[in-house]
Amino acid sequence: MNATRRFLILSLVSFAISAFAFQASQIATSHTITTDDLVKILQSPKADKPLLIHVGSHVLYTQAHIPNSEYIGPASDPSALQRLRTRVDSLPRNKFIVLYCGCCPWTHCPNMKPADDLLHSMGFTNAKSLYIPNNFGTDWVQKGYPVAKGE
Amino acid sequence: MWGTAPKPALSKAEGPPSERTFSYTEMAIDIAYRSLGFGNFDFPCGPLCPCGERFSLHELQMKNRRTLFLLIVLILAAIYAAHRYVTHTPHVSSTQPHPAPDFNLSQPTGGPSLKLSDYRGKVVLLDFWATWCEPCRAEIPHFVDLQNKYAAQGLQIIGVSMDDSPDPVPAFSKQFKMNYPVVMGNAKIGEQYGGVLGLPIAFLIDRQGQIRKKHIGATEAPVFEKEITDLLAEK
Repeated sequence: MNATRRFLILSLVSFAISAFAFQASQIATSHTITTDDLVKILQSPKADKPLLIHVGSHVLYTQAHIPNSEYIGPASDPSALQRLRTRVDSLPRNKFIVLYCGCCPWTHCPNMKPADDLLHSMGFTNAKSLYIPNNFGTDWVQKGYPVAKGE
Repeated sequence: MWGTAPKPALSKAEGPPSERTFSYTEMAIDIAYRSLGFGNFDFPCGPLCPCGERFSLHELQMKNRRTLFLLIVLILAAIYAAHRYVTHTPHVSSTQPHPAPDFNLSQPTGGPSLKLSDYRGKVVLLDFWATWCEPCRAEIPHFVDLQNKYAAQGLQIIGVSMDDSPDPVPAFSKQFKMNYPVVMGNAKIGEQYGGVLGLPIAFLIDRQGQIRKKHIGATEAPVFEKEITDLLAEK
């Protein structure tokens, strides 16, 4: 391989490393929902309520999670991703689903993008990822939004 | 007119005195000039060149331009990465000193459990982290350095893994050469410490066992070092 090709590959790798290091930030904006908007939906008596699925760490989930949300497991784990697939497979493809994690800053979350990709690859047209910029504590609990504890 | 294509080095210290050398600035000017469609930028001859001759940067060895191009790409990649990385502001609070909740937690390797109260008299940095947490992984090498540097003065770092299972922790500890004890956390200790609802979270505890600082999110090493040295200096 000549020197020119080598440095071109190195250049591409540099960009790739910086880009792929921040997976969640690659989720399309049209696939996300803000915490404020979700709270409005949850608190509205008339709004269509989503199926809430937690795709992060169990230790974090048991400390605090959104009421009525289901725990699947960290979506960066293939076994949890399979559980997610099984859970939603029988649902109509226009079902309103909200995935969330909040383990760490959005740009570093290893769980959101795999879950988002899976649902959209399965044909779900109304699946959203809850945009949590910092973590669940800062962006949900400390804002006074509804919280449940335990399993 | 152009004579023999010169083969200049990147600095005037390299190569025979008769060869023209070009600075990075000149190379950047040439690339910009050519990018705008003005063709090659003809640089005037320098003091070491034969009088009256002008050389085109285009005749330089490709290696020099490739080096500069790669440098530009790497700088852009670093700026891009930094921009994507900094989307949140780490939060630090100087808490009203209050007792750090004691705990008795097991180690992932199965060794004896560890009690926080055993470290009374030391300055403790209690770090809540997980193997899958990227910002945590960025902090840990700095903690290793701090532990090496200040252990003799009384610093003790303790890592509390919030992994759902202890399985990945020993290999991770070995890979990152963690030189401080690691214990397995759980929801209970998270709640005792005010809710560990995101990672990383670090607490600084003084020699009397009082929590003095809480850091939510990755924090730069110099910040920790300043706070640690301040606490170590307290009697």
